[in-house]
Amino acid sequence: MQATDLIFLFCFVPITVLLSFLEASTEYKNFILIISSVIFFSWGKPFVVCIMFTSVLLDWLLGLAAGSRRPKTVRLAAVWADLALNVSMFLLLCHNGIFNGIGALTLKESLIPVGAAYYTVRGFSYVFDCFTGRAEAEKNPCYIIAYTVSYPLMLPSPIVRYGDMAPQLRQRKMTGGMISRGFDKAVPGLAKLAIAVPAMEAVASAGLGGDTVLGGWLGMLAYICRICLWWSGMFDISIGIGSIFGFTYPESFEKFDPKGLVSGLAESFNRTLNHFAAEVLTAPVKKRSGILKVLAAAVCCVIVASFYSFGKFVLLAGGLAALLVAAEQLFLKKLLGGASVSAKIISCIYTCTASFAIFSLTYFNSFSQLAAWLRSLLGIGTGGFADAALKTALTDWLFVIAVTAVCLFPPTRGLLARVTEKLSGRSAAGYGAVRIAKTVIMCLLLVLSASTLASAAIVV
Amino acid sequence: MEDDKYNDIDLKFTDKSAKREESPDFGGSAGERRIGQGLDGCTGEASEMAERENEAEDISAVPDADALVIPESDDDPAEAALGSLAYDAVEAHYTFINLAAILIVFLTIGMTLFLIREGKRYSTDNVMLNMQTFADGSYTQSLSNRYIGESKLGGLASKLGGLLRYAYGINGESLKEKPEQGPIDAEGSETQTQTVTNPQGEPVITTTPVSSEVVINPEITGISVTMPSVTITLQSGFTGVIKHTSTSMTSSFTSTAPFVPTATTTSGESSETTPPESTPTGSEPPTTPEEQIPTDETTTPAPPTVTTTPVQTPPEETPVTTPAQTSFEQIPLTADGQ
Repeated sequence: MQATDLIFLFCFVPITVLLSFLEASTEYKNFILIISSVIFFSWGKPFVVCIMFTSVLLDWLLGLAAGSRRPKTVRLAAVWADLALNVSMFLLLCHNGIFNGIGALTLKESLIPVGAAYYTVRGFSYVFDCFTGRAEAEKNPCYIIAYTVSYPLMLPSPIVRYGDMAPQLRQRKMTGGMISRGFDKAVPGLAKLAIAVPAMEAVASAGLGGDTVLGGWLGMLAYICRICLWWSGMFDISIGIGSIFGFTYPESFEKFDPKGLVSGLAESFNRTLNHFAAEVLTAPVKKRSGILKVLAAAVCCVIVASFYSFGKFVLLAGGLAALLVAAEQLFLKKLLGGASVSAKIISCIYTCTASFAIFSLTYFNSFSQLAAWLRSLLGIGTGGFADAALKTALTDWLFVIAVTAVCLFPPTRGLLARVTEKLSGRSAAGYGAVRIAKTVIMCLLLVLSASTLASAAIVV
Repeated sequence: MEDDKYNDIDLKFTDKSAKREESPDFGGSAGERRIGQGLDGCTGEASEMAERENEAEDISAVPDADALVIPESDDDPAEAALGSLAYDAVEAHYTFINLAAILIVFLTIGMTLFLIREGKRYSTDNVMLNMQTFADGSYTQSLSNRYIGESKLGGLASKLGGLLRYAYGINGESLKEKPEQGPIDAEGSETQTQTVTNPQGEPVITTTPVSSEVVINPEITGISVTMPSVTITLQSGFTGVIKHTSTSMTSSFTSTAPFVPTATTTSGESSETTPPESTPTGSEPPTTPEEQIPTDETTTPAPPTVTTTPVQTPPEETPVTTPAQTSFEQIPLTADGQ
């Protein structure tokens, strides 16, 4: 089952929310969450549930060991054991393609989506936090199971730490205000996935599939937008569904800001995951030189890239990001961080070029394709400025692209925010008009997204 | 009753003063003060209490009753509290409207998906529940497919989505150029027409290919390839439609005109139709060439016979063939369309 499945959105989630609403006690809500998560994961892959619950119970036991008053070597051994457990679980469930050629271990597809494998990161973060003292070892395994495998947390959600979630797991309330805010967050996220992502996908495939100048530039821009929209959409749905269930998560996806250079881009992409990886990697070198910290940040980039794919070019993209991040930490930030207009323009050009380079490595599968794309960018040996496929894709999705551009482009986004703020701050009637307009837009987006998903399901 | 709903809406702000800066000045005037009174009884009571306190303070400060003025200072804590309560009440009001509207839409879609069915409870790909189908996930997958596949909303949503996309220009259905109106195949989709003429006197064959669709769904079957459906229209009024996926092939033949076996010879600019020597329906009137040539606007009726032949090829090894190859290899066409 996936987050964009109609049976999940319009059948599974409402029933679970309704069941959770029936009883006020948090223990009951946790129980409903665990049962529904079992169904969520057993949907299609029942035996995965057995493996997952076994690993979660092991996490709980190792957390007890890591958080105990035993000697540090024992506690450290528990952390390493948990790291090995979760890495092997991750490889088995998500990246089992690397076992190709090992016979019995060969599995053709990943068993669960990468997003769902966040539970391995969450399980390790719990043991790590117990070791560092950030969280207390939990004696009741039900809380650990609810924290680790609850499906609102299992979508590609922010890496919430157990120390932050423990109070919410023990005491939370599902209120009308939270449900309303949850819908306000989840519906635009769904619209991003159902409407905006296909638009960007169409433009990207048309542009990068051809050999034209405009196709090269616009195609890569659309590809980057597609990835950003996909991630922010998934995060929005996750945070929205969490809010409906009474959870509050931190934001994990931030708008792209050229001022932050590549370090800012890498950090803002999946902030909570990056912070956790950096924390784990820099933990042993806290009191050492800055060079080691830079190295840890660079290694962090490669590890985070390998979290998504073990493809050669994705790892290469991670390596390039690591190189640039290390260079920025060492000297580039000082060079490009000037307050003058020319320094700002140069830093913006640098960040955009680096982003294009990193994302292009994740798109192409061979150096020949990459070289052809670079040639098309420069207009060398191309088939013209724009081909018919690109024009068709642009005109077909004109409205969606325009709306997405307005919502994503910082100046227009800021202008929209200022206008609505001004209107709602003028009078009570203005405030009401803005709220009603937002409600109407939400309903329209919901209908559009549902109809688009239903149409797509018919095709499948 | 309404108050109970508002009590359920727990709006907790960590920094109310900051929130209030962005919000309208609900506590600024007497008229706006009524908003809170009208929406929430508690707010009304609080405002009355605050007014009484203000009156008491003013009376004690100013003995002259004619000079009694209610202070309008923003610094007054009572005014600030009043504004905060009014703001909370108004926000709760619109939050309730927002939640109710979205829930109605959400539940309507969900219930329609769940309740309105086409009537065929068990589809052809129905999988019985047993240990094997449960363990390999095919049972739950078939449930997912049936959820949308048997629902009437699938078609309704498709139509509604088409209308909305048309209205908003999404996917450019309103912008797409339609240079020529092709015949409509069995699926109802318009297709472009490509006419093949043979100067050797063979029947004119019209092929109508549509674009192939490759559906990648790693959760279900890895990669399923849906081959293009090809409509072949003969001038005698027979239409053959072939459509096959990675797991099945469907071919159908329909007739849109009374069967009159003719041989059409196309040479250069003129076409000559010669009736065969042995006409089986001699009582029928002779047909003119104009009557035999099907128009592009002809809608093919439902196919009388549909034959489904499962293909045992695994999905990974399914050969992807061009529409033209598919049509001529799979359908044994003869002049009379049999």
